Amino acid sequence: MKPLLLFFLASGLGGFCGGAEPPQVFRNFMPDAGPSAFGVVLGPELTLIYDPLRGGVNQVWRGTLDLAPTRRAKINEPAAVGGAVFYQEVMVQPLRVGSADAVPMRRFKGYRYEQDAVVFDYTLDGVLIRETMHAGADGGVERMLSAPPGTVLFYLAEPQGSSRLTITGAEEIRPGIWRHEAVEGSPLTLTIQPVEKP
Amino acid sequence: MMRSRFAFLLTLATSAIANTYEIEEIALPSGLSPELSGITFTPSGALVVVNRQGEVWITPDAKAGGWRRFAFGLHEPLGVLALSESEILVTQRPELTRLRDTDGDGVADHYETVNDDWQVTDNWHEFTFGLRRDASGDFIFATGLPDTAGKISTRFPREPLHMEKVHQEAKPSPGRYEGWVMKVSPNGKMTPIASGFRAASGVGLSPAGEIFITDQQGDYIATSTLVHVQPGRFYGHAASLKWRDDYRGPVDLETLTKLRSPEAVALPHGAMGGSPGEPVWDTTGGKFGPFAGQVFVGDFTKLISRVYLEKVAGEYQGACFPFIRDAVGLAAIQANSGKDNLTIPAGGEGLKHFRDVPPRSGTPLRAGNMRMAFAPDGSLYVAQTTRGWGQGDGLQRIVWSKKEPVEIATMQLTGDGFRLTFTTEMDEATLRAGEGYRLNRFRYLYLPKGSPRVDESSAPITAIRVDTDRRGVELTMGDLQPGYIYELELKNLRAADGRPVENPQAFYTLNRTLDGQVFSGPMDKPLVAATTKADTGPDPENGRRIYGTFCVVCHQPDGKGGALPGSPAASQAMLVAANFTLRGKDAPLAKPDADLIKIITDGPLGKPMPPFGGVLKPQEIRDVLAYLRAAFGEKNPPQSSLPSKP
Repeated sequence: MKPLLLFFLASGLGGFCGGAEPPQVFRNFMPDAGPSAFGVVLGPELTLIYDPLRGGVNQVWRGTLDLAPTRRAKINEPAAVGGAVFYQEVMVQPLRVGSADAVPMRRFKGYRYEQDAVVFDYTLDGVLIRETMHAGADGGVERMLSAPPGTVLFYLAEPQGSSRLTITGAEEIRPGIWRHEAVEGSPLTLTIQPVEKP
Repeated sequence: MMRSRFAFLLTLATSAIANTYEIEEIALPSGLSPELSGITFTPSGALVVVNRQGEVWITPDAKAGGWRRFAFGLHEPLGVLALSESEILVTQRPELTRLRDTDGDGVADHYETVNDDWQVTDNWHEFTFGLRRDASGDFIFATGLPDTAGKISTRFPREPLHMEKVHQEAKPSPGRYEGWVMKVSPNGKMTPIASGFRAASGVGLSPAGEIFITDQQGDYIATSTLVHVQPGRFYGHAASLKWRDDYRGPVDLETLTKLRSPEAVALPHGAMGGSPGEPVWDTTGGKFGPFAGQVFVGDFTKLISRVYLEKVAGEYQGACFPFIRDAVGLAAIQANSGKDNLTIPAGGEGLKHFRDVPPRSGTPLRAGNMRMAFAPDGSLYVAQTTRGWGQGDGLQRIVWSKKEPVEIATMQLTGDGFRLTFTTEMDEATLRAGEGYRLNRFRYLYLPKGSPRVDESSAPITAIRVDTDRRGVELTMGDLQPGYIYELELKNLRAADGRPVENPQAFYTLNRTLDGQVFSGPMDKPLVAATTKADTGPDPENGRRIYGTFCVVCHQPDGKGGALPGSPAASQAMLVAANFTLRGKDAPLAKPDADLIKIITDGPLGKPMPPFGGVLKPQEIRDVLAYLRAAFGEKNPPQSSLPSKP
């Protein structure tokens, strides 16, 4: 991490986070999320909420994350989304292990910063999943999910109106249900791309 | 004119007196939000602080600056422990986190979840407190209870919430192990230790590795406490019991009373603060003065207290004393004065008493003293935040001036009274004088709604024996009763060099006598019925005492309300405690009595103030209202400071 940039964010934005280049993660009260979720600033005007309990990316939007409501007074409020949301997930644990029909037990294990990405670690039914997230081309988000070789993952995709979800490294076995068998160096990749409406 | 002359003389006097302990302001860099919620030192002596904004900052020398941000984006960390300058652990609301700088650039890049085996719901009052590490490497911390004045989120719990009685309690425990003290092993395994905590804001570890917790006054917890935590025990707040393995359903008060273990030391509400923070042991080996081995406890108010612990019949108990009670805090103390709260009598006599104490000069102590740590040089660093309850955030340092203080060093139980030792040789004549001591006793009840002091009476001293070195005295009493808090006030005792005792006040929590006797009477009602008073109309003096107990923290001694830092006034108006000094048709006190009584009784609609109808009697609510009108109403313009007495 670049200390200079972090200092800028701490000192000058009055609670608004956005506009920086390396990813930055803020754990706090987030709107429409499980307790203590993550606001992730992936890049200039690209922000999302990552929910370690529901399991996944709740919302992605172009714009900023306003943390000021979380710091006001003694009864604080969730952070505020400052921009147009173009992607939403609501399904509980859309990433599953071993079976598409079984909701796994998910335990969060932490995160780390790598280059221009943030990497979340968690387990699904005890299987370690490593999710690398960074800003993609053209204002989108790229999520790369890795598991121990041989692990079979299923991803249940939700229809989106304002974005296009592209899944690589997996096959669609039923409408909206994708199967991935983990191989070293070949992650399951989810690319979220905003779609400009006419 | 008289007042200004007195103020001048007071200033002149204070400037001539060197404090035995000086308070120094520690400047923080502009990028570091001063709502400091945790403090520690690395093994190499670097200072580490965390703040409400979720940052971790570190400096090799706080006095010289050199701060850098080590981590950010944490969810309200209230505990921090530094294993090195590149490996720091914090408690966030939902988890214990290990922060590591793996690339050597001085900034954490890895935020590892060590354990999150307890559950939060996103309620505003659901804090995870403190962080200590014992000799076996286990991490110790505590969880607080949520508050039903705010929302309790039921979205996406990792495991089902336990909603039994949640909406009937002010402080429920819907999430697993809320209201507990727990430990996490170095390999991340969590073990719950003890239950019954309301808001266990302070987590401490004695030099012998014993866990101590401060809990905060309110429902079930009649007054704030310092608790010696022992595995399996229950310390009073009922909500957390549901997470015990042997829980079979709601428990009645009689059963709760049998289950409950008492605190080691009660911190009487008002005189000894309102919301204690982290207890720290003086392990400086004398660098901090003559209190080696004793415990210092910061408080939300402008107070740091000191605790002397002793083991009696196998259990800890002991005495607490004010240590630094800021002169500016006299306003709060006066507002808190009265028999329900404070030994210092209200009114002129109380002020006279305080005038006997050398007033402090120099930098005053700020409020919000929730986290403290001893530096390698023996000074005490105080990290301060009022977290939106008031104003007072920052970092101060308390340094012993090497001048010998005149204080009660210890208050020990004997077979028939108490033995006091002093930090210096005392004047024998004042030490022998019976009128130099005022000893009272009182107790608190154990009730869901909390308790005022009850069964308060004087405790006559029958004999005084002075040590030959005049550094100690034994007070013999005719009737020493377990189950009471004994409050001692020294009057006019002086050191051999003529200086008065700086903090002539002590409270001894007598849970057990030396031969192991404990209180066996009722905990839900007084032994002595309160004297009923003929209804002679509202009593503003009684209202003042009640205001000092229940209202002053939010509405402030001057009645101007809690100014909440960082709040845009327009959007946060509902979160600001009412300002009684406002004038005009929309002012709080412009409302008719009936409306105000309803607000106090039921709580204001849509605001966080709790209803007091279950806490105060109707007559007491009328007394409070009478006090508000007398002190802050139209006919009595508000005073920005205390009136000076000639």
